[in-house]
Amino acid sequence: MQAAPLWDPTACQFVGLLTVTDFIDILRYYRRTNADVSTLATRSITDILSDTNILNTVLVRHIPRRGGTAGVTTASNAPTPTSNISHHCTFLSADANTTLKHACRLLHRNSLDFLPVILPDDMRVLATITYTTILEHLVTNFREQRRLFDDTVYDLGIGTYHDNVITVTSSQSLADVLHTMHVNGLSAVPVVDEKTKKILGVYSRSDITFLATASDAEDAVANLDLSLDVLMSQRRTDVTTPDALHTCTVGHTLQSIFEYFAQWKFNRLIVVDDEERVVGVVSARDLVAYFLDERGTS
Amino acid sequence: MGNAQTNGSSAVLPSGQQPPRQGGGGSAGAIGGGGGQQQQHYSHAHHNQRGVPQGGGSGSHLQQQQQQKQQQQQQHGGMGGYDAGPYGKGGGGGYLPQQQQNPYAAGGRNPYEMGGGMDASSMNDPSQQQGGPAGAGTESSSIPLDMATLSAADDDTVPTVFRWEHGGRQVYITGTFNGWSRQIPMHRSGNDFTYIHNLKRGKHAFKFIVDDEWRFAPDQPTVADIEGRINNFIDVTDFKAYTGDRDFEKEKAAAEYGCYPDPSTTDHEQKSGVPGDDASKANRTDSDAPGSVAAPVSASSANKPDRDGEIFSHNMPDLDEYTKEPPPLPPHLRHIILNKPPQLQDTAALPVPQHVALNHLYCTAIKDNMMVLGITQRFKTKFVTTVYYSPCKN
Repeated sequence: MQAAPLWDPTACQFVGLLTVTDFIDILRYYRRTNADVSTLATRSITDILSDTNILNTVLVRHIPRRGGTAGVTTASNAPTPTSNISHHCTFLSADANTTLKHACRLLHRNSLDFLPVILPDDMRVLATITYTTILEHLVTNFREQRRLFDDTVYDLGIGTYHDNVITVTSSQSLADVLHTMHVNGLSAVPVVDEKTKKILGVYSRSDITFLATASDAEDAVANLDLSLDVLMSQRRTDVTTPDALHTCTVGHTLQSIFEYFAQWKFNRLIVVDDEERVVGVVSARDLVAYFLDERGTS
Repeated sequence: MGNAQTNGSSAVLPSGQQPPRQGGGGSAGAIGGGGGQQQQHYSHAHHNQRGVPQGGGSGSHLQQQQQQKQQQQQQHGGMGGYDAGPYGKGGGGGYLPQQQQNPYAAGGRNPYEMGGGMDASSMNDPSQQQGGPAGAGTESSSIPLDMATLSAADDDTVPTVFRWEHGGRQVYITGTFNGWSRQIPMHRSGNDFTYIHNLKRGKHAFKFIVDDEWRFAPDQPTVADIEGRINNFIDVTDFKAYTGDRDFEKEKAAAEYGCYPDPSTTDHEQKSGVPGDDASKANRTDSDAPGSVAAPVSASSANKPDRDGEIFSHNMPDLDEYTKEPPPLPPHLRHIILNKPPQLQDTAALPVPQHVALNHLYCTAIKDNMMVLGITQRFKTKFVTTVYYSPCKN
């Protein structure tokens, strides 16, 4: 499950989207503060979301996401907590008649990863839109138009390259990795070998779900201390479509990226050079944003 | 199909018709098959089919019917001779009555017989109507067919469902609605077979052919003919389509209880305009004093329909009603798509549901204080299955 809309029975409406990020954030909070995790079972979701401790310690974000420089905003800075709260309080959704472009804008401008499609008449959730699904639609409809796509993605400026690429090493602990991902607003990071800088794999947010199968909450939190190489060597049996490593080179054209996506439906591609070192990352978001022509406005 | 046999045994009939083995069975009607040659066949054959082989065009069909009738009349006299042959078992007697019944079919006019639309070919040629009723009159059997209703000018047809619920592998139906001319395959659903036909108003007889055996449905009304053969019977003369409005309810109540809802009470209620049962009842009892016709309402209102044609009563259900099993779950609803393991390529894709399972709420046993509900709904051309996780209060 990627995202689940939250329904408030007293307000009789959808109030939020529960995603794996929230799960991660909770775990990080409990680890950092060493609070009693067993209380997690009894607290309601609203309770947790409005807990300012959590908001202030764990949900500090690096804003804006990409490009430019920005200081890390901390709890002392007034806007941050409110923006975090508002992130949870305003429930953005689309209904079936929303245009694709409008939906993309909603996703992009609000830095969302999931956009639920809700029928307002009977409050039915029809689907959740992600960048990957939008890309899927673009690919199936526009694959045939070769002529537009003969430039390489590097030349087109799609993706994040060189110094902006954030990577982690396999010896880091899960907690560190999650922190990095949170601070930079990433949904996945490439894992590289420390010495050779070769790509070993990709660790994505949804890979965390196996932690939920831990027998109790303390174990789950303890798992955060494991190092990545231990985790990645575990066979994933719970999820049938794990985020696998998909790579491409700097010379790949947009057309070839489309073809590759049509076959593999990746969420992101790691751009590597001849020696398998990480050069950049091209994500579904980048590709969609290219077509939406909204690069640079985060 | 062209080569119908001329020898006595009828094994040839293309539709796999078998002559009735039991005494009570009807004769097999011929279906399909070449036209011309079978005509000759019929003229000789004893196992006659009341059925006229439907092959060819409409013209041939009708002509066959005419011949058929004549033959029947002839054979009626000479039935004894036809018993020889594979049918044994006093089969001779078995066939003729079928012929007798034929007139119901033949007696009607073309549109009536072909009304089933069995043969799209222009059977409904009014010029082909023969002097059916004359024939019918002479050979009427115990079925009190009301020819007057048949001859009514109204084109009203009543769509009727015929059901066979007693098993079998292949079930056909035939009856006066198609002139006993053709065996119509019934549609199978599980162990039940159904067939829908627009019947002209009036009474109709019909019978089923189950795995090549003529049978009548014991759970449906039957009628016996002179020879003792039993056919099923349905009367759609008084059928009224459901219109779903107030007038329908009133008439239905009137038909069932032999009375209309009390007009004086309705008038009174309309005047007082008091909503709610209690208030209106009070008003009614008030109006009892002047000795209006409304007097019996409160006393015997138990089982009379009220203004809307609804009935309320104090009857307690019998004790065995409490121990009865609830109605069984239709088997279609057992195919819960959420229970099937997901495909590996896309965990969000479920198999396409049967449309009968839509809008049904499925739930799991409550575990860890959480109830999980699932429902599949349709949105335009796609199906969306939503799973709700809801905590239960202790």
